[in-house]
Amino acid sequence: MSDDAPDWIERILVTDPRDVGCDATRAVLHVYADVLATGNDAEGRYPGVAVHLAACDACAEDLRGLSALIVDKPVRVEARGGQTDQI
Amino acid sequence: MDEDSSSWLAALRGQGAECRAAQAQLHELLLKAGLKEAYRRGPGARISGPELEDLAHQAANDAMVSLLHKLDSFCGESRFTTWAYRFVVLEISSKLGRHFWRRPCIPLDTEEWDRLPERHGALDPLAKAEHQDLIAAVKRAVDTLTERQRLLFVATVVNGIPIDAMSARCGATPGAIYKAVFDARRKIRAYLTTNGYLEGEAGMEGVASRRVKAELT
Repeated sequence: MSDDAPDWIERILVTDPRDVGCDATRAVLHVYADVLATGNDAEGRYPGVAVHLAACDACAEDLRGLSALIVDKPVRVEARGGQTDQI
Repeated sequence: MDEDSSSWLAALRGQGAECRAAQAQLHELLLKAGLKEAYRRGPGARISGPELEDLAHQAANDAMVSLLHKLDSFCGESRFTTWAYRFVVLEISSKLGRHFWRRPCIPLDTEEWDRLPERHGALDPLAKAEHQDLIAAVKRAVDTLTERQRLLFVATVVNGIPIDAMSARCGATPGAIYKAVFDARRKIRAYLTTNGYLEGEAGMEGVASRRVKAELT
């Protein structure tokens, strides 16, 4: 066995001091999403937010949702009768 | 501020029929967004059908109220519609967090330590036995945490309960939950480093200690 720490222990113990946390991230999530959507450097503009998004599944999921909305990507839904529809 | 965003602001700050029409249009937009986001996240949250649609409607309504209260805080850093969608997305997260506790058999009083490596990406079952010493060390480290840190670390990291669900359960913001777990992670790393399970300086951040001691290998 290698003496590298298992990846899982690093994942559960990661604490980057640049991490701004959930509240600060959610406060600028709309700006971050727009910067991303226009192909600009969101990570460079908000490094602490980028660090947080890499560590926090909840905020990353919010960003995925917001990004899907602003590019107006159709979401396939299953209607009650078993048919599929798009919103 | 872009032209569309200015138009939204002017209409929503207007009077009479113009304002009512803008509010109706905004609500329609928020509801459409709420439905999309709810359907995107519904399968993962094990919620579907009328209950999911109700959740989307409630999220759109609550987002509308919050947004109108904060209209003056919009300063055009993003498009108005992106700002508006954020309210819906956060409402959906919050409501799914509350919905989480309606599921049967939520493992808040059990601790799934044996699944910890697997839950965090250790896919090799042959390595499972090799992780036992480290799991035992993490458990001892967790016992040094405050009661709140222990509860939140075990719930979110060991048992995989979402932060928004713990936020709903504890009546704290997701940020407060995340901070408590963040502090717990630092203490656990310091404990493991001090006691020789990880190399590096006790209290150093994640990038500083990347290796386990040879006695674990």
